[in-house]
Amino acid sequence: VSLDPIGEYLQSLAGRLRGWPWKRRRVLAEVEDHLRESAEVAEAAGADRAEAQRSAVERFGDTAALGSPRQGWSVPRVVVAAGLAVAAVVAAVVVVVERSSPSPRQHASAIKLVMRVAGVPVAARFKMSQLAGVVVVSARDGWAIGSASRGLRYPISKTFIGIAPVWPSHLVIYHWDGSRWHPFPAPNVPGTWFTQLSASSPTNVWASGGPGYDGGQGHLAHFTGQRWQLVHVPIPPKGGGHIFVSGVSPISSRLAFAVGAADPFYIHPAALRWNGRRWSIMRVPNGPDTDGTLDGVAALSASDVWAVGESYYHGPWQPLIEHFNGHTWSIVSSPPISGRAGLSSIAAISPTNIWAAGYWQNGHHGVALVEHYNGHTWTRISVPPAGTQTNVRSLTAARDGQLWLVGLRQTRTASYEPFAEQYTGQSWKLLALPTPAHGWSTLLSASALPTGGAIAVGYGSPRGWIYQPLVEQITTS
Amino acid sequence: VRSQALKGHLDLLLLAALRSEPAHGYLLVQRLAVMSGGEFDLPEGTIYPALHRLEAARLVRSRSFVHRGRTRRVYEMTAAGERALAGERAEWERFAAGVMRTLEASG
Repeated sequence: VSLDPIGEYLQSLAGRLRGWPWKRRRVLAEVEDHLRESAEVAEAAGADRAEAQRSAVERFGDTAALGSPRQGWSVPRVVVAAGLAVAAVVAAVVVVVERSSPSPRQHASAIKLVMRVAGVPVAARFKMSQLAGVVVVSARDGWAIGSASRGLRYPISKTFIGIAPVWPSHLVIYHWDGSRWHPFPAPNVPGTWFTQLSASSPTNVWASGGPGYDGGQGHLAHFTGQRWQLVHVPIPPKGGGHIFVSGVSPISSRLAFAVGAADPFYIHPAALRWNGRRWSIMRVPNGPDTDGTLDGVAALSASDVWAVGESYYHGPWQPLIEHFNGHTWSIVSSPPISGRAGLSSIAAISPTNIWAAGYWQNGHHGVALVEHYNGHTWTRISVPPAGTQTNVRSLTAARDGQLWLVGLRQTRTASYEPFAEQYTGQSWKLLALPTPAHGWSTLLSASALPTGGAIAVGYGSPRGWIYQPLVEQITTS
Repeated sequence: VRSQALKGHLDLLLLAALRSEPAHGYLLVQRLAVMSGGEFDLPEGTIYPALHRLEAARLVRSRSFVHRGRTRRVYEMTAAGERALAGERAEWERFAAGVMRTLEASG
């Protein structure tokens, strides 16, 4: 296998960066974008590809020059933490973990056992695979979506094998029959990212996401009973760019609402409506000095739709809540939060019982931000802290009023692990999840089961660059 | 200009380069080179810790999106960044004027 100089550089940098895994990922993604663009420019000017890459790496500078701990990019010691080659096909294994002695903070009776289902079949060619969205339609019908990339293996030394993702990634879809997950044919949209799933019936399921590699119009994917089809997302008429659709809330096959953020820079709130045939763009309040995004949507009826996100107005990002009354969208006031905060997920149980969740970065502490609407006002609800840093990714409600919240956290002992909290109808409880044996993992989305409990999906990395789908079924008794 | 001398002023220069419109790291490096008339030549990777520091100080903010299959992070100045740039610029002008007056007085 030929060595890609940029991949080699990134691999060596990955092994030396310290800090939160997603911060490391952010740094690596940023460096990779820089180096590849730099090499592409040199290549377009006539340089040989390998030479263009080497010169891009050289101009970028030695990793040791990337900064001292004070500057954020710390290089503690020179070690090659290369990813080892691991088989990508995971056997269907169900591990049942019983927490007999939960720590005092963790609720003892609400959750008796947590079942980890580590058995999602992955095509052998995909070394990097993750699940981003899940929706349970009924006790025997559910969907999960994600993306998968091929991994390029190359030797770093006699004992280490490096693996780098090969773009573009591909959409992968799984169907759940109540007990097992099966791969399902997915439309071919290389590079487009799908992040959320929602359904109003077994024959009306939406997958939302945004423009990616193809650089064309954004797409949503729609399942109407036979197969998944791509549906175009319009571009805002006045100087707008593409819309990244963060979420869809379908009421019926002829009515659905969607929210997201529009280019440039995906910092302009956007809302859309589905009439059964096409999506059209709705007007949302957005002053010239206000930037923001809408990340979650919950439609109760054609004249009662809620959307949450975050906005920026000459200060730190703050939660943004908007309501559609059947005619217009308007901004709804919510409690001001000190520090930086935003809402990313919303779950509506009834018009007078709506929950939203997101993040709240208050100084050095990152906690889950949870807000509740009682029909009149939004108020902040405190939830048990899950760690020193938490990142809520998904909120889901069951019909009986129970809620589930999943994400990832950092604690004093664990650097990166999933967490889940449950609302029992009276209070929020932190749940005990099985701790992965090694590596790190995260949960990105959850959907409540009609029989109680919830299914959560995400990804885990046993080692290095490889990541694999993760499915956890949370069962309460 | 030598890298060491440049480093102390990198924050100010990055804010100045971001003032007109948002940019990702690679573009900022190009913009700095053009704006300085080719005078500034530093390892390109140096700008990222500085950008992250400016972001932590809320003088810039960033959003990422997918561009040709890669995650691209674009930085833009905040209102606080505008104020910081104006303040730093005034201070720099006072300093530079002082240096020039001293040199001129020496003949």
